[in-house]
Amino acid sequence: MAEQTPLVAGTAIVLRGAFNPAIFQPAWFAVEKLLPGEEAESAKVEIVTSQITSFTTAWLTIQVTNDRFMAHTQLANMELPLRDLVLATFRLLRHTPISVMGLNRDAHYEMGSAEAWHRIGNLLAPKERWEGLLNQPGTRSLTIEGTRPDKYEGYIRVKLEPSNVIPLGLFIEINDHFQFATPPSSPGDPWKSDTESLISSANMLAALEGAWDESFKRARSLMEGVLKF
Amino acid sequence: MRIQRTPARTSDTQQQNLASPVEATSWREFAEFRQPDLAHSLVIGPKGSQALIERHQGSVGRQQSPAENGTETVEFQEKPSLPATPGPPVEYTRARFLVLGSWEGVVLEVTNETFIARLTDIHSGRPDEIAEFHKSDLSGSDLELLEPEAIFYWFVGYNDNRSGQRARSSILRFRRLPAWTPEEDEQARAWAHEAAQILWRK
Amino acid sequence: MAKIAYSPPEPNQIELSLFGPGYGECILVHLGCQEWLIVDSCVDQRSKQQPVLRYLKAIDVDPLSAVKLILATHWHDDHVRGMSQLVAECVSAEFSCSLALQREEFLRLVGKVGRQEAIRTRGLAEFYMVVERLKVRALGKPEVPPIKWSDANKRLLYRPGSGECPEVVVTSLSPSDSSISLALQQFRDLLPKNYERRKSVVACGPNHSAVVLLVQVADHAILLGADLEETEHPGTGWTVIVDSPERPQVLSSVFKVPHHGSVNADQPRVWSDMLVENPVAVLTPFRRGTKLPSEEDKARICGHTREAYSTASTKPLKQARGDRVADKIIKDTVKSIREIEGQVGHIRLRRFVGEKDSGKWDVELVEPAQDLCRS
Repeated sequence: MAEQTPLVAGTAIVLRGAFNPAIFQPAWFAVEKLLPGEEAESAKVEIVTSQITSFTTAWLTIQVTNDRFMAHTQLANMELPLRDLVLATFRLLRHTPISVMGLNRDAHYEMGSAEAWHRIGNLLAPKERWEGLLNQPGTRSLTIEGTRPDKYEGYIRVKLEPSNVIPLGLFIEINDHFQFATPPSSPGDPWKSDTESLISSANMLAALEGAWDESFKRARSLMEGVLKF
Repeated sequence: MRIQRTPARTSDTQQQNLASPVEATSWREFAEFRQPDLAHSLVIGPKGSQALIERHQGSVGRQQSPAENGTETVEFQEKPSLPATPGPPVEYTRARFLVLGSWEGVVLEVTNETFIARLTDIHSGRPDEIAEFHKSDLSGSDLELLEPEAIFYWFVGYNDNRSGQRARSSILRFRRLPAWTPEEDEQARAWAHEAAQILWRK
Repeated sequence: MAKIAYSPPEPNQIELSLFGPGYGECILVHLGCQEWLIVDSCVDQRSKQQPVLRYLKAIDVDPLSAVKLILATHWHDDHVRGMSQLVAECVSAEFSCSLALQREEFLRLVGKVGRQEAIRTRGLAEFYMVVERLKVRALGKPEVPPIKWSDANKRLLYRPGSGECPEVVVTSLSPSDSSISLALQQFRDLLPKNYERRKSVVACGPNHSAVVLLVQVADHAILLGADLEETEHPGTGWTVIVDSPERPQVLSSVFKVPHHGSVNADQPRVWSDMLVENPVAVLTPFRRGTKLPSEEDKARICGHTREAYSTASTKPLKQARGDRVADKIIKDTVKSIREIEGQVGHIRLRRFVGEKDSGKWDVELVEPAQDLCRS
């Protein structure tokens, strides 16, 4: 029987758009009062350049490239502060063009037994259909996509894999994907107009505020549903 | 509980990008960004980066080459360049917080030693409560945010640290909400105007 | 305490029902002939239901058709929580609120703060939803004015007497012009400025926009005091109402005591000039922070009338916590914690008009409602 509380879990907000990674340093977050000063000072900075920034604090990982922004936490009690951080950051940088947003939850569950661990894989991708075609077939990854149940464009994807963190564990990732605008056809091409970019970041902010609760209720219920397979 | 990391394999899909790089927002797929071949990798500590911040403010939305970004005069430490395709961006640890209760609070009153707040349960829907907290439980930067009408989160639960040790924990953290923008003011005016047009008919 | 009978009033029977937990209130008035008035709104935090809708359904009254007027006396969250649901369900009802809320100063505050779920300013958030519903209604029925604006000495509802159905006049007695000006200044002061850090918006100071209502059914009158306080500003508060030659010069036999019985809302001339001797006084307590009515307030009110009732006690609720680990951590962390609202109490007053009038109001209390002067 699967343990219903994940052993390890994470929440991430991923944005696609046009960013200047050099801005997103701990000191900037502290100066703008988006992070406490003491957190920013003790942050572990991996790299800061105009192409990529990466740092971690006690609860937060930020990684930014020219076309992607990611904020991640592993602590369940910091999911809402994570959302607040992204909201506050991109209200401040409201002219940032943002075309898509992913609200992601992932979790590693202990399945409790080899039998339980195999059961889900066998149910969703029966091994016997592959025997004779492959030696010792096993499920490495399964992704199911559904349409969004709300007013936003995008999709909901569920990915299942054997955990690479826990022996006999199940990894579940829920990617709640929102599409706001069409990005330029080539990275580095300018956005068409400032108004368009403003509209794009405004839509992301509205969705992040308005859809957050539903998104995580849905993620929780999807994970519980998978564990009941 | 032991957490074991299995070695990365070429077919290990938790480290591979399955979705289109243009569209993907799964953070694991995000890990597969291509890193440009950099002559220098700049690592700038938090205290040394103010000048860099000032030069970069206002330039969001445009790509800048290292030569254009004005970093030549900022102090930095050179480090060896990173591999072209780094591994997973986040290393899992045993750290976790098992939430047993969560509230959002609005400060009603601040006294010399305490503050009083109205608490709304975030998940279980229990009725609102009023509680008195000790100011000494706040961090320095949270103390700066303490004033009537300020909003905070309060979580109680078990805190497992990176070594797997567990302790009962109560964490109070003030919300760092975005400042009001002129665009929101404009939107409010527009909404008010439209509402007035419809509702002022007598 | 006797249980009340959940049956509808007779066509020639007035009813006033006051619902109130420790925070929030809602008033329901039967105007005769199954026509009802709702003043303000509250939600039972334990059941998440609206006490007034729950009660109407319990006595077999369909709110969809029976409620004729909904009035929000002001915008504070203890008076409007759940109001948008009332507006949505009571589709036959006209909506009324203070004329001060018609102005752009208030609408901008609603449009800016009310639509921000993150900052939990519930009164404004509720008003935002009310306005959105009224806009939809107005667009669907352009011939019907979507809002009746209340100000001093404005007739909001009139029904002539006919057969068993008594004559009804509902009049707003406030806000005065001076009160509206002061209210608008308050709204301007509350409006967050650009680049200010976002936080909740809490109303403070006297409530200048409050609507005091006079409900006349046949020969009887009910004075609903909302949260109107007496202030030092000339032309505002209770004094200007008492002294108004334009108000209906009737004496009310029921008084909903304003502002939870606080001394700030007390004007002795209301008791002497606007109420009968020994009226039935009803109020809801306020348990958030300052406790109202205080013992002095109770003594003052009970000095004016022997019949005074409260929907709940002002005593703080006992902390309802058990032995769960979370409860232990909470106990170790906070200096004190308690539930604010508790159970919703209900005071019901009924009286026949005409020949069957017994000469007094029948008072029924549903726990935790209590006799104010004997508790």
